[in-house]
Amino acid sequence: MLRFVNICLVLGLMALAYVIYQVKYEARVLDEQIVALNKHIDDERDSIAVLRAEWSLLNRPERIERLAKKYLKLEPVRPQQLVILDEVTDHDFERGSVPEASAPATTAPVKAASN
Amino acid sequence: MACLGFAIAFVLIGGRLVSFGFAATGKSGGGAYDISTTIHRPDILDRHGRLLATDIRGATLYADPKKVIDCDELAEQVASVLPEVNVDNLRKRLKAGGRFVRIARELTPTQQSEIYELGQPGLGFIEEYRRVYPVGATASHVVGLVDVDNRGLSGIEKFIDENPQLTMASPETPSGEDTVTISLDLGVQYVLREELMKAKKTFEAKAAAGVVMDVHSGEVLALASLPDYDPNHREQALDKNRLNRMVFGTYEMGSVFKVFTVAGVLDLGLASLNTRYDATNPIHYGGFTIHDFHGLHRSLTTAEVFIHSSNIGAAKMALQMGIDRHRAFLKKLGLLTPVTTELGPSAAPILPPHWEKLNTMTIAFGHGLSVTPLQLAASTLPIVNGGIAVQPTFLPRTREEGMAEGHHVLKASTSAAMLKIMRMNVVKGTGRRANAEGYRVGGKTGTAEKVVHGRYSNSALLTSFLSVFPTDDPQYLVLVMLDEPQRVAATRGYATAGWNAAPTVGKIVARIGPILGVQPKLDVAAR
Repeated sequence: MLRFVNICLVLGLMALAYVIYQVKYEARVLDEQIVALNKHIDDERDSIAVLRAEWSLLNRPERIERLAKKYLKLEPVRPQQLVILDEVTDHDFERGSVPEASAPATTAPVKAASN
Repeated sequence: MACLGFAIAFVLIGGRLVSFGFAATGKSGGGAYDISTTIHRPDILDRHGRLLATDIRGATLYADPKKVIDCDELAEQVASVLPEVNVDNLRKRLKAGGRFVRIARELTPTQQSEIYELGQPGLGFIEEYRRVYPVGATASHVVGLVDVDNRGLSGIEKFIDENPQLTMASPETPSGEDTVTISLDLGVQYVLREELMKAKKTFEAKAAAGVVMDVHSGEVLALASLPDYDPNHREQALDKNRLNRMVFGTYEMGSVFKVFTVAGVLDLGLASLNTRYDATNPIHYGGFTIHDFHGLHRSLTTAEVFIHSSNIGAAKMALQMGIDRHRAFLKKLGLLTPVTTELGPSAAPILPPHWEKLNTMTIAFGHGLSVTPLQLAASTLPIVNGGIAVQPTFLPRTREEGMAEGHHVLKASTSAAMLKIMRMNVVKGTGRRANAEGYRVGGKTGTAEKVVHGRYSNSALLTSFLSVFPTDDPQYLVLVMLDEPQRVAATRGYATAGWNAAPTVGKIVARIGPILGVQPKLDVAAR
């Protein structure tokens, strides 16, 4: 009887040892993955930082202004081109232009190229 | 007994095994990927979230002399890849021994792979953070710069190190970078710097400086001082000539001081805009003579003293106030003590050693008291915002907060009268060329003679224009200063502020008005 119990315990112990070994092994693999992923996250963070730096390098106001002058037929907005809605009469709407605005640039929406 | 002994031994061994198990997990689970020996700094953003400074990772090359086989060969091979490395110096340091010799910082990936290809034992890399300023010199005097170990040396960079609580995770970026937002507007800053550069070149000035401030919140939207430096090349910042003149240079600012003199007599109730001052003859006092540059030789009203920039009139106003009240008034506006901002305290103003009658007379038109331009701008805020002294700041603040934190120093009526004559001065006075169509600029010119070899020189001038727009609803203050502009053909041989500093302000306002969303009004242009 005692022998049977002992054999059972020994077998149980071996089974447990195997399971524990297995779990530990998996845990170690997962640990390695965590380290690798953390490194990957850090790398990605760094490349995001580099890309953001590059983005703002490419969006420097001086560069945008230079490109706008080269490729866009826009010019800085003139005060004459801005009117307050309340000052526009129905008559102006029908004509499609406002008296204060001077002739050439009334149709295209003009944006300040300097910003 | 033996049984108990065995039991204790088993428990001890078992416990130790369990603790080993935990320790092992703890060690590998901690796996923090520590790449850096330098400090990781927060990004600096402008008020609209545009990046002004950020950290990127770079490799640092080092050698471990214990593992190096041939010092001479290694030094020469490294120098073949990195020409800036001094061979003799490196060889000496390698032979001195130790475990760590830093060879070069901030290597590019190409250089890094070339070093790998040398196949030399004893070489290694550590990764460090490196500060980059994508906008270069554009905002250099405000943002400041860092040393090789990524510690803040000047400007906002230094302020961040002293106040780590400013740093917060940005809600705008998904990866949640640490950021610090400042009050600068990159668009306005760029325009200010570019126009100053053009002015410096056109008028052949030695230096130029300028600032744009919000009159209610006290925020500095742009601040430039030329010549400046590119913070990506930190050695440039050592040059004394590139100092931040706005904050650390003191100057006798000249006639812009009449703003304070006129505001003084108005606020003390000593005069109205129509009170007359006799400016027929120059004032002789103690061996000095006070002349008028634009001499009219008649009696002038307060408003006329201002728009014709009469030194005689201003001197008489100061005498009317008296030495004590004049000094107290300037003190109340903060002109006699350094102004403290996030960039540190400004240079201390230079006061006359004995403030006497003559000093009061000359300070009335801006000679005899040296202040920093930023201080001049800050002291003008109450004159144009309804009388409230606001602390200038480089951190974002709403107009309501600015007004609530400030304190009343002037009557609102003084401020209204000053805005009126500042506008008048641009419509028909010395500041005509500062007009920006539709933006109702008001301002005051200042042409000061610099002291050369102990006496005032009429060829070395310091010109400035102090302005506010729009005058019917004041929002922004613009100050421009040019150091020694020359009599060039473009200004028909004049070198006074009305010909150089004033038109520069006009150009700046015309460009920043739309950026800042100021509604232009053409019908009040002539008001």
